[in-house]
Amino acid sequence: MSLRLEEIRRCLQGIIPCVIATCARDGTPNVTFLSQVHYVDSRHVAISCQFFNKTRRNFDENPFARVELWDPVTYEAYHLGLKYVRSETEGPLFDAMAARIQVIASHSGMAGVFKLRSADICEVLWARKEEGFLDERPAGEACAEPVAAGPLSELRALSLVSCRLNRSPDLEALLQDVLAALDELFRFRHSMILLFEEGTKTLVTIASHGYGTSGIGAEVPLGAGLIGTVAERRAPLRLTGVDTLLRYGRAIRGRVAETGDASSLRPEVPLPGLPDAESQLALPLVVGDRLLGVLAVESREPLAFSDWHEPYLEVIANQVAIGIDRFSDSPESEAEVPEATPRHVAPAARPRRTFVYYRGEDCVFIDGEYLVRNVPARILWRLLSAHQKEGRSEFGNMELRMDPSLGLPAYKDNLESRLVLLRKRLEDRCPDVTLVPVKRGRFRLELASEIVLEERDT
Amino acid sequence: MSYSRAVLGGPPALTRVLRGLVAIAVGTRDESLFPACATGVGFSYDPLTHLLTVFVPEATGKETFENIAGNSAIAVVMEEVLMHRAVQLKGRCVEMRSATAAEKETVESCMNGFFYQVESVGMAREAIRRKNRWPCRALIIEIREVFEQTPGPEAGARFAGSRGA
Repeated sequence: MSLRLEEIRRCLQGIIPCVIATCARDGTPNVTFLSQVHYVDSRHVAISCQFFNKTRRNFDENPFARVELWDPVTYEAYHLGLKYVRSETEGPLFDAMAARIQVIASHSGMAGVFKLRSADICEVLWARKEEGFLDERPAGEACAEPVAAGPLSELRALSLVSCRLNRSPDLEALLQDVLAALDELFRFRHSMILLFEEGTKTLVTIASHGYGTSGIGAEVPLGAGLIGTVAERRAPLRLTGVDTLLRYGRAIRGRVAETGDASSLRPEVPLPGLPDAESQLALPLVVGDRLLGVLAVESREPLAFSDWHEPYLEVIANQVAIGIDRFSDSPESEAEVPEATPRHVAPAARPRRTFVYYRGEDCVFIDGEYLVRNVPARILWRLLSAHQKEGRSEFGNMELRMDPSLGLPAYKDNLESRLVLLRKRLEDRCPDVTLVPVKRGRFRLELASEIVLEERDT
Repeated sequence: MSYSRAVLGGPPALTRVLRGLVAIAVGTRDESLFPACATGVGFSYDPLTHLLTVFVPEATGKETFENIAGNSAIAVVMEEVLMHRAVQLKGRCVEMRSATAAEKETVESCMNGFFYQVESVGMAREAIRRKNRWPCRALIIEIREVFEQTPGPEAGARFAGSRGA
């Protein structure tokens, strides 16, 4: 009996590599392992062609193929009978498959070396289970098959997330609330939000949830890894079987190093977030045609994210993007926020902190350790300098916006997000220097240490 | 024999190449050139005769056995799961018979290597260990060509024995 492809979608996620057999015109069979067969629609799958290999040449001579797939949970085997239809070198399917390969290539230091040449589309003639592949389960042994998850009960969760986003009083609360909600409501234990810095073409981590260390301030270049690729393409991307993908990438890297142009290889890019993530999903934060950042969730479970999660989380990502945008140029109303009590530390107990601003690198170090760079570094330097020279402690967003030395864009300057990043970096690295909100659009610089400022060229 | 031993770097070199390759798949085709594949559960290689014996379970090999009975053309890919190191061997099946009790040890040894590798990359032990592997049919193959199959720019090239072979 032929199965529907939808019944074996788990086998098509690349968690276990599959086998493909083809046959040349002269009758010589060819059999090889494939990292993944991609689901296209209920009657078609796609095979990625990265190298002009024998499978691809056989398709031109004889269009038929056989694929053996394994279920990553039950390990049952399934066979597909295929007929090659065409190769695509552009379009949405090609772009999605190419992006996945770009991520592997980027992580493996093979950007530009290892890339998709074509998406070979095959008609699925039939699909069937390989009977007898596994022995009978011992009597009394429980079936570990998980209960299928689905979106039916998730509408209420979406509503709750939406309400929280809408009520967030400021950007920092919004970012924390949405990541906490993803954990509470969807069990996405590990997540982060990165904001795009147009000037440096990097994504900077501004909020994270579920990691031992916050990682605030960690940067990802545009186009690098999953997050950088999602930002560059402005389209969501889901990776399953990350460990398998990376081992596959390293195998190719090893062969390129041995037989090809080793000089084209770059150092492997460490994965941001969990070192042992098995599945990752990243979504761009876009408003209009502006890229604001990326929302990324990950898990140690290979099947943590189902097909429906992608469009579902896209709704949340869009709401987050609108929320971030709302705070990116909010008018400086004088609404009061709860009065914060300034911290008083006896002068004798105040530790001494040395801040150094490196003009060449546009960054600030504290006591010899990197703290922050670019616009947040310039903001911090302005605040500390004003405090030291003029004795000022209270500042307004408007005066920062008007200061050309900070290099903020005239429109949608993301000042709020830069202040959030600065505040969190200070919390992580120098808790005795804090930025405390006093009114909407105003904050106070509080120092529990003696400050020494130095400026150096490099 | 029709194959070139020089291409392989000599049978002793092939012995070294095949060491540690535990994931096995067999490719065949029918008279209409429609391909088939089956999972292998073990192999042995004799450098003296240059014959490869691959074991395929009776439970899942019916189509493969029918194809071999009809035309004997066969390809076998073998891979080390952890590093994706792989080779493909092509040739003709010169004999097909039931595996003997003495060969069961070879199958179990190969499968233990396979289980160890796939479990170390995260596959659930209780599912994997249910893999049917006996009784088997032994396919004795005259090797005519060996190909590099490790993913990369040289995948599909005739094996040159460049990595210790």
